[in-house]
Amino acid sequence: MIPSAFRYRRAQTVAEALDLLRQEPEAKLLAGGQSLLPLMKLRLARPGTLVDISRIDELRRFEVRPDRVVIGAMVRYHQVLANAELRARLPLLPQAVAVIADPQVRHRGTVGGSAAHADPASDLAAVFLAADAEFVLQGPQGERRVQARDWFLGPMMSNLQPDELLCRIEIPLAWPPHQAYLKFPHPASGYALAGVAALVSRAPDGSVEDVKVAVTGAGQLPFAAQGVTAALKGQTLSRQLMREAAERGAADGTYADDGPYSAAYRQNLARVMIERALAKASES
Amino acid sequence: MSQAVLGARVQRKEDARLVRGRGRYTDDIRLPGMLYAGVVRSPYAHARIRAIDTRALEKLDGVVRVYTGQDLKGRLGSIPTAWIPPDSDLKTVEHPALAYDKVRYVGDGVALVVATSRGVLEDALEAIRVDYEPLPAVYDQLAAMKQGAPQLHQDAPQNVALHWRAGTDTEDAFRRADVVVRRTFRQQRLIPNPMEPRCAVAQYDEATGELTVWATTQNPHIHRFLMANILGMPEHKLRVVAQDVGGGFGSKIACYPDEVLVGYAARDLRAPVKWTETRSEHFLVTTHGRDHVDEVELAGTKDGRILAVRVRAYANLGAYLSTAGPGVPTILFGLIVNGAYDIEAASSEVYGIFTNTTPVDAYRGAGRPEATYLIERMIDSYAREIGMDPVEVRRRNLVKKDQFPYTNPFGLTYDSGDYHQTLDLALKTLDYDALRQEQAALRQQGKYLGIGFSTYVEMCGLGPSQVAGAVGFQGGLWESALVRVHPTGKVTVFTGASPHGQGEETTFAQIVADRLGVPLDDIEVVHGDTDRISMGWGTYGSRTTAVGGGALALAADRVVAKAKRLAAHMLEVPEAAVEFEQGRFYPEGDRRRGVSLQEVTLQAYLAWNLPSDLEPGLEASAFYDPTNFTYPFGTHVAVVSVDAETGEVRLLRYLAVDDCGPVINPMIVEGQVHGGVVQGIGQALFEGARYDQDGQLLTASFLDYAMPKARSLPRLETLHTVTPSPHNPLGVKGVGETGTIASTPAVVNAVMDALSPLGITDLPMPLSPPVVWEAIQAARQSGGVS
Ligand SMILES: Cc1cc2nc3c(=O)[nH]c(=O)nc-3n(C[C@H](O)[C@H](O)[C@H](O)COP(=O)(O)OP(=O)(O)OC[C@H]3O[C@@H](n4cnc5c(N)ncnc54)[C@H](O)[C@@H]3O)c2cc1C
Repeated sequence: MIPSAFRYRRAQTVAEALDLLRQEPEAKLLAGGQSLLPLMKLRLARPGTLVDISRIDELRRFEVRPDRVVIGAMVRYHQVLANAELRARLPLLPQAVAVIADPQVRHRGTVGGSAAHADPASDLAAVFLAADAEFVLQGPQGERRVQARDWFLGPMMSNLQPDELLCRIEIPLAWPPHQAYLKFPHPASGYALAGVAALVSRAPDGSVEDVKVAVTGAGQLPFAAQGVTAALKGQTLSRQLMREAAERGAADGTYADDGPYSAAYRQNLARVMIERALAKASES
Repeated sequence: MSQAVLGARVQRKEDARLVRGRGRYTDDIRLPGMLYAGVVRSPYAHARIRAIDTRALEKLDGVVRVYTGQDLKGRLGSIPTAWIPPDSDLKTVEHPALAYDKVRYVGDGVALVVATSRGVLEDALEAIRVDYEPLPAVYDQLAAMKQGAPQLHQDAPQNVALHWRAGTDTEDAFRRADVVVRRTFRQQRLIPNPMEPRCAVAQYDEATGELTVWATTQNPHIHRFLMANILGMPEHKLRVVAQDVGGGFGSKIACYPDEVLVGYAARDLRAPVKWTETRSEHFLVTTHGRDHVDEVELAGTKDGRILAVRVRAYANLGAYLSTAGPGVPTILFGLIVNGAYDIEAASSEVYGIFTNTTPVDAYRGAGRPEATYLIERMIDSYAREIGMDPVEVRRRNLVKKDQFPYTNPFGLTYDSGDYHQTLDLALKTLDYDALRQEQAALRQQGKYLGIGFSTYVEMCGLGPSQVAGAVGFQGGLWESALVRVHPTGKVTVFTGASPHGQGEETTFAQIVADRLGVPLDDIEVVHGDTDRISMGWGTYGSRTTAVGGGALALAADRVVAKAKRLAAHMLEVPEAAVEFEQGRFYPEGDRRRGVSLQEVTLQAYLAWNLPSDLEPGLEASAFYDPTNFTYPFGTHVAVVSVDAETGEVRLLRYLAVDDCGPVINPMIVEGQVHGGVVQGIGQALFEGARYDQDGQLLTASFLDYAMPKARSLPRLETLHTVTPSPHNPLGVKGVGETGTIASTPAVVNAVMDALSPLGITDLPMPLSPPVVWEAIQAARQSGGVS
């Protein structure tokens, strides 16, 4: 429960953090520490230097603009929950944040840390994918922008190079508030066994103008359930139709057996939770 | 005052410190020059130790000493078991504090490292290289008994540690039966996980030759008793102290290698040494609970009369025999498999088996939850078989009020009870008929609601020492108490029980306040220190209030008796003419004159004018040995719904009607019931250790091992009936384990009831979402009605 020895450096600017990342041996960025520190205490991670980025002002920006929300990487979960404007414009995000862990973790954990860590069961993964988040990175070569669909490369592997820093996440505010995040927590860890983010927009005649759904936890990687969009776009919603759409959407994931949770069970859970999230989003 | 204090919802005295973070736990101890110890643990479930290479430590600053198993061989006695069931052919195999030739489970210790800080210690633990020759391992008890299975101990062929039987002949009853129900139940292995992991600190005093060991124990005197032998120390030079202990649930009964090693190192190094278990270690090395495979048969008539029940149990004991390990699946299980039912014939046969897993010992309820699970599940299975409401089957078979004291087929005498009353109260509270109607209506809509009962009885208040001896427990089970009234009238109470979360600092003060008529705040309850309490047997088996409280009541009465003699002298009336009420002595019928206990006490200490045959001072002790166990009972009901799409079980209602005799503090009793019920729900729905083929624990952290969480629980409804136990001074029966004992089968019965339209009769615990979902899928595929 004691990490192996490491150096601690605090960066004041993004440039300084990037320098430290380059210069210090086996350096790792420290954000809220809610994923990194447990790994270090179990000695599963042994960074040579921790570069603390929590005091970098640029990373603490948090703006709800007319067309998009800009979330600095160091914005903490509890700040997301406290933002009233966000609750009105992108209710999906606070809904997801509200079911992450517990108040202690939510007071330290950051949006950027979650994105960088890329846990395949993290709640925000579904939100990023469903709402087309864009990740803005800084590296030795300057700025790089990555779309959510290109972000999750593997379990615990985001599209982020060891010498890069995630500065902010931008999420377009393109959807009406028919949004829902529903989570079936793992009975032990509380992470999502299936977490579903759903966004629905309706045409004046009530038919589905557009819909986007993404799933975290259930599959080997978080995924956008494109089958749902294909099944529902232009259609008038019904229970039957949502059920079929959920079936198709769940089929977009790749599932593996994991202890008592068989691949078949996981896919079923994805289907059920998609269906329920669709129902909830369209009723909201 | 006496009316007010006994039975009052008094706030827990201990909480003032505990909820403010002012509790003093073992790990809070910091001593000058204290060193930190850690154990190098086997990553293999079964392996031979070829060599241990500690050279890398030479480069580490701050490593004080390393001991390997070979270093300690012959210097420390084997870690013993303290329960040897008679006629069980128990193989008391060697359990070295550090393995020296073979490791037998993942976590088995091979070396002890002592360092100047925890940081250095953890570096050192990593730096030691152990060369193992891995051996085939076996984690399952049935597999371990097979020909050709890996052998753990030379002197236990086919890994059978014990074979034990009890009961009556059942053949005749099975011949006469209309119906025979057979089931095999697996009662999965559980990992206790009290909030506080284990810890031990030891300090050796060179001047006196005294060793003090602070340890997270439920029974410091048993620890002292065992450790004196293991360490080869005179018992009076060893002091064991349990400060605040953050829960045990049985897992802090055992004497473990760790505290022995810490004691050894402190004595050897002449320096204080601390060992603190990490949560990861806890999962691997603190004793686990349950882990049974039970083959059960029930013989009955068509009209719901149970004739016989018999059980063959295969209990996984883990790699070594833990302190109470062999007694749990035999005495505490096999003698009560008929449950609360009047069944003429019953028998148990138990195999205790060694496997390459963490040793198994008592876990809240210890044996009795396993027994209750069997019989309660069998009642429901039988009811379904004969097409009768399970409530009706219970009603027809429960021991009746006028049958007490009732002797069961194993010779246990149930002290007192009115089992039907708890059942009736539960049914009325639930509005059972309406609930069944709702269930029928929901079934029409394809929804699964289930109602499950458990009408349990348990044996606790352990127990008469004569019986302890007869059943092979290597100790007594009486309890001690000392009540000391100080010259100012304040009172210190010393108990040999060792509460660690159960609230006896409060309930014991209530008992004494009631007997002596002094305010609660004037009473201090001291426990958990072998230097302050002469002897005692500790807290487990729901014995603390029934036995320790009994001792306390007797001691308090002795104080009053002595004070009364002095009061008579002071009031100048004959002793027979003195009355005692609410802390004051009066001449019979004369309330104007009188002396308070406080005034009498002062005179007892001043001793200026005592009756010639009265000694000064005012204190009394009692060693109380009960004449029987106590038998709490009750009816628990779970109402669940099953989400057929996800397999999730939701608890809609949970009702516990318990009878633990007179209630000293309703708030504490509710707390005990709540905690117990939740732990039992944990077994039914969430918890379960899993191993892989190599004996690696797959559920070795909270990421994989599911504990019950508040979000998954309903509001718990608790009710009581009161049937005093006739044989102890307070009439109390114990309530520490009832919840765990009763709730597991109630919940599983409810889920099986919910799923009955699908033809599902039994599922393995925990009834986790995938287990339930897969069963529903299978049932639907095989054409079960939906
Ligand atoms: C008890 C507990 C329960 C939890 N339950 C949940 C849950 O239910 N759902 C859920 O989604 N999560 C859960 N989490 C994880 C939590 O959300 C983490 O806080 C989050 O995943 C990481 O955020 P952080 O700020 O703590 O990152 P850190 O732990 O500081 O960092 C995580 C990783 O990201 C890297 N990193 C951090 N910031 C940047 C950056 N700006 N640029 C580049 N790399 C960066 C770090 O170097 C590190 O490798 C839980 C955590 C705990 C402790």
